[in-house]
Amino acid sequence: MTTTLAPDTAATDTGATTTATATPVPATGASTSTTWTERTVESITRRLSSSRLGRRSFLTRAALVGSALAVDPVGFLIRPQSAWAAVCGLENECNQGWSAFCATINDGANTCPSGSYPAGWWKIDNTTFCSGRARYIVDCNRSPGASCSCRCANGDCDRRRVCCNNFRYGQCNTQVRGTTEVVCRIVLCTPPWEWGNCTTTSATSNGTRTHWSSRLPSRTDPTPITVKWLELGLTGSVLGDMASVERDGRRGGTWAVFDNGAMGSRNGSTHYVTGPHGDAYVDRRGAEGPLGYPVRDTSGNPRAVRYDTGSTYRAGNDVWAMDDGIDDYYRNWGEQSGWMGAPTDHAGPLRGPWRAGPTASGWWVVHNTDDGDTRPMRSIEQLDPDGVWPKTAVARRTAGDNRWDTAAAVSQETHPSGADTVFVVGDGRSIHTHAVPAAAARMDAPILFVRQGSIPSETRDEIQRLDPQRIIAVGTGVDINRNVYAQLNDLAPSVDRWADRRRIITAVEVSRGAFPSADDVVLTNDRSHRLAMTSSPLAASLSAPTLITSTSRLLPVVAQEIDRLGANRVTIVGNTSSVSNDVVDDLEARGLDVRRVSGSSDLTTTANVYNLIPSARIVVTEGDAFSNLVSAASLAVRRPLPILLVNENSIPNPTDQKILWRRPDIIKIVGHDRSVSHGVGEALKGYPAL
Amino acid sequence: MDDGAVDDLVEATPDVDVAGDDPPGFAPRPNRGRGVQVDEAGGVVMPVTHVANFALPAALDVFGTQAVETMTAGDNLVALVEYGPAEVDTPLFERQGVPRRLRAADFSPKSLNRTLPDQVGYQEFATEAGRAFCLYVVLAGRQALGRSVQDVNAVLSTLVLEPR
Repeated sequence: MTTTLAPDTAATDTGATTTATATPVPATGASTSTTWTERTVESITRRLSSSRLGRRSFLTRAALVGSALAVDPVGFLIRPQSAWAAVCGLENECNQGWSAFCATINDGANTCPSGSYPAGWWKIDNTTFCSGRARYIVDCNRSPGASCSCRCANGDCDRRRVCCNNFRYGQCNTQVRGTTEVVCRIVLCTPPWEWGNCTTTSATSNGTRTHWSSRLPSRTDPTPITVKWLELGLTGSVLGDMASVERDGRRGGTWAVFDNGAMGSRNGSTHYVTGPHGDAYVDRRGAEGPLGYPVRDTSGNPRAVRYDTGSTYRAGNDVWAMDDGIDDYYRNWGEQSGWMGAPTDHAGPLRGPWRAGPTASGWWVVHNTDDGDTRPMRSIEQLDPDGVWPKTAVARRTAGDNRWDTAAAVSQETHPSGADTVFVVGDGRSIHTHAVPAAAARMDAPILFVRQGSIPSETRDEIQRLDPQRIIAVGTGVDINRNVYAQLNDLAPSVDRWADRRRIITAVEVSRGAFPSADDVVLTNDRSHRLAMTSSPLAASLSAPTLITSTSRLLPVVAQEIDRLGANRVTIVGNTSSVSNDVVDDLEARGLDVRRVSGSSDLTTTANVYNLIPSARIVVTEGDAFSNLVSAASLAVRRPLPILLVNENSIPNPTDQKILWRRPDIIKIVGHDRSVSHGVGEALKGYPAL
Repeated sequence: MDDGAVDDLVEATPDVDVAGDDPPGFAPRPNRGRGVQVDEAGGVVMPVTHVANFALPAALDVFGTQAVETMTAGDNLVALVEYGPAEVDTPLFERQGVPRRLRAADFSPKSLNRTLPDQVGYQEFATEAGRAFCLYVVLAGRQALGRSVQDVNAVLSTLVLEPR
């Protein structure tokens, strides 16, 4: 018998008689967006929903009616009360001898109930449900030691036997001895030997083709999402129950929301995501939103979950989404472990063509959908609705492969045409460099490094390029030994050494050598090399030498140098734990105008020094690297430019706030990426510029 | 769709011989000479021999589900199903030797793949000749159970299983 169902479509899995055509006809009296079958299903579903179905979900009702229409359309429409029989297939009553489906007795879960285990399987060939391939039935038998009693299932139409038939197919879990009762059966499209601990020994029982349960999805034309959900266990799966009907996603796929997550399917790839990532995915409108489709199955709460056009990221107790170009950029820069840190919200649209995702670093990843470009930005306030990128800082790095090379690179930048005078200092955290940058500014000289016992080739080459008339070596023999001093004589007509074994006096020596006189003096603590370096641009801007002092008192030799210079103002850089008020009192007693630039730490003091040096350009370097600090000072005193300190992988808050406030157009980075990382370099490009 | 793959069900070689003359009334349907068959998905089709004292339907599942529907009192069905090498000597198949002599007490109405009125069944997994088997017997009509068991034993006594 062949029954032709017109005007719409239905397919069968009866294995025997009913087929259908798919003859589209114009809809009459109804929306053209729904098919005849859909309208019929909706109508009958409403009819059935009043009392007979109780708490059953809309989805099940739709499945029931859809299946009934497919299996026996004419009979069902005339006698809708037969829907249950059509859905559950032949031999659905207890006295007809077959075992029930697990979904019927296990609250919709297509899984072996507690106290049972997969004990064997058979297949039904050429099924519509599994896209023309075999459908597999796995028996769940009572576990040895568990107990159950024979009964009839009380499904809507699957009233088959539960825990009655003491029979085993025997291809699964053969490590379990003996035969126990079949509790129930589950349904798969995946071969059992790929699904669980079963062998390939195959049995076929096509006589059971129509057997089904109203708690299983419709037996006709299931979607890939339905089949996958089935194989995961339906309501017993990690996803739980389906919470919405499957709906269209972007680019031709579909997706569905479940109690514990979501699943998307496109181009034959069907994957789910559960837990907090699943919530975030649903929050971003799943496959209808910017993330697209999950690219692998994910449970739990991993650091990141991928979708074909984005990712979701764990951020503390939250999960946030980054998409498309924003996510590409974020992934490229190390995600949560990179300089930007974890996202702090979902990426989303802004005015105009902009999309942006915020991160814990304070930076945004900003994507322009007009030009496809993506950039980090410290602020999104300046984004133009017309899509024109706001001006941001240009970050340029001056660095070599090592400390000598970096110093040479700075020298080449500051003195491209050579220099009459060159300062050389020891490269081993010399204690005698405090006063050198200010003097170098005064004498228009670059600063290069030597080893205690040799001149590195990078330094030698740079000195030869500079072709100086004079080299001034600052430091004792501990920093620059006699042999090196002698070698310097081969590189310039004149070589001097300015040094004393006490660093304070070395600074005085440098001041004496470089400054015949000065109105201003910059005074810092003798133990803070970092403050001496970062305050040297201030000294340069004031045409002042840098002198250093102990915390508690001003040595006479320093006071005498201030007198010699004829200075009338002293700028103390550092808080009272660096330079005490006793020192201030002493200076004021000498009739000097004293001001203090300070902060709670070297970092904040440096940031406040910054306020005193007006420039649209700044120099940044890492605050713990001695040689980089010297080279940064050598560069900064030239114009002069303020110096701000960063960490290798982050920008400290005082520095960040000063850059935001100043909005420099050029940021010069001094140091290799081992001291100032690529990430920090990238972040610096994201500052708004004037 | 059809309810197809009947060929896959029963037509494989178990290298099982029911030796000598058939017991009175029994018609064996050994499925020999086809070799091991692998289906599209990679499943290895079970070789099976059905022996019955009634007419077997053309389409017959491994455990004879189509046949049991038609059985009337006095009808007996024996299915000897061979499993694959992976099952040999596993705990489920740890019994050595397919049973040749059954007792009426071995049969139960619960030991059926499909429970039907007035039928009893027997199922046993075993390894013999280095091969894994399941013996499944369905008897219809409890009134003549003793006689049916005798008839089945007569069939089983002729069973010859040789190593591959």
